[in-house]
Amino acid sequence: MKSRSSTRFFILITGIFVILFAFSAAALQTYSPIDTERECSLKLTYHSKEKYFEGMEIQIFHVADVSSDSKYTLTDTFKAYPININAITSQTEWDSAASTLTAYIIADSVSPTQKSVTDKNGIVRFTDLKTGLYLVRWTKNQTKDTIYGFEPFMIALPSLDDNAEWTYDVDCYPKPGEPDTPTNEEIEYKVVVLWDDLGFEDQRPDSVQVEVFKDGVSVGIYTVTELENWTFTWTAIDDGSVWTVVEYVTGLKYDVTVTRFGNVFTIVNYYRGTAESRKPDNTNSYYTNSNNTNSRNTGYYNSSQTIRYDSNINPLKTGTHSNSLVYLMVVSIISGIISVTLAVNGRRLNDDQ
Amino acid sequence: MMINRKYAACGLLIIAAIAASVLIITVNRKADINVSEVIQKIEDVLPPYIEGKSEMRYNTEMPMMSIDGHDYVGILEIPSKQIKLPVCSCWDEHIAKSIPCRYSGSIYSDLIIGGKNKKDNFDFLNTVDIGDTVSFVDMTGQIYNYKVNSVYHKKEFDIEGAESKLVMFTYLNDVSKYVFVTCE
Repeated sequence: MKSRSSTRFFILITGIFVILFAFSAAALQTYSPIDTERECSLKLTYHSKEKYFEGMEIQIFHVADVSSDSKYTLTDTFKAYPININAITSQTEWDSAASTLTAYIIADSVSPTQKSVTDKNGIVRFTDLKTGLYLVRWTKNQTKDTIYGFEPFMIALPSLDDNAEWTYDVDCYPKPGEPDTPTNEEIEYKVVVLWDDLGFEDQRPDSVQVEVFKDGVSVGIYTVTELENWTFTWTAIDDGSVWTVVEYVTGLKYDVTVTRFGNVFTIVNYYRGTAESRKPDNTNSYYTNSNNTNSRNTGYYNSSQTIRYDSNINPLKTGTHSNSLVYLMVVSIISGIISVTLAVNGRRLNDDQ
Repeated sequence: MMINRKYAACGLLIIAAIAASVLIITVNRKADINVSEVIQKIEDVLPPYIEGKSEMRYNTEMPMMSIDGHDYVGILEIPSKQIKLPVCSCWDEHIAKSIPCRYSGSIYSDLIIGGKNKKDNFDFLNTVDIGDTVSFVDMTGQIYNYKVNSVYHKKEFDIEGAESKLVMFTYLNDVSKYVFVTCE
């Protein structure tokens, strides 16, 4: 079993950016507007306690433009993907967005906005960047039998610094996960499709298509249905290959995230719903998607709005009703028998007369 | 004329008896769910558990896993009582007779779960002690741990005061009271 503890380490670094994003959102009303015409730069330093990661190819992708009031609009390259950037508020969601976009990038061989190789100090610099949201990913770094993992992550340019000022030249120190050593044994990979569509379950498709990639090369498309409880598995030798999956859902009803923990790929389909039934809370106006040119509904809502009740003021008190019904049934049957007896006797009397 | 009336009365009573029988069957209908089988199927595809984070989410809805036609939002565990139960995604009186169901809320904010006072369900709830550990695993493998901080009974269903991260409840037919267990 491959160690995926790199995810935990990745969380540390992405946490910083999530906080920055949160501040970016909060800046809508309290911080100075972003100069969207200004050029940005990004310096990334890849090193661990033991080593600097030299010669590692780093790719960055311009995922979304940013407005002066911190709203994101997916760029032409990414607007077709079922991701709702403006509805993301938590670290977990940013992690999911990064891994999902990476899967689509691999599947569609999307060209990076820029790419470069780390120097002997593990440093790579990107300049002349437009403001906006970027995805940073690495290509596999393998030394002898050991694989070092850096999870993809999102970063906003500009970002807020410690003084709550926009900084257009951003330094970042991604942390590596624990190195993995391939076992060269057969292991099982699993895909599970989850649904976030409470109240709209009838909108689910009969099936979804999931394409599996090994080191960026498609190895098959699987049809996943409810019959298999929306799951499927495959086995492969653990040889250090990087496996990714993407899901294809027909129509535009769902936003999708793909995350991987261990050997399990979890795909969550978020029903976009209707504007009325899943209207975002107006108090959080900076989460809305009004500036998003891909014109999708946000599909995000508060669970308390859609939870279904059976108009039950006293849930689980059905025992009382049940007892009453038993009483009613017994009385009715006994009365029925008496009535039938009386009726038959009455008819006999009439016949006799 | 008298005979016709008697026949009519007899017919009505028989119809009432049949109606009552149908209602009894309907009301007592249990969802056909094998708890251990469902748990096994869920655990087969859950990723390794990671600790759930307390973070602000705009979308607090929980992803659902569909198993044999029913949707589940997580697994509830109380180690001290050797309890491990799947939690159905939404409130349904019939399903709640078989397994616990989400009554309202979300594990990412505050969650209320209800279940019938029956085996493989919430029959243990009245025996839970303050300080017991309660875990909830969502369908993405994030585990949230809590401690029981209160156990109380009420005649009527009243969750207004139950402002806890996790609330579980059942109805005790023998004493005609609800028992609420709150966790933080």
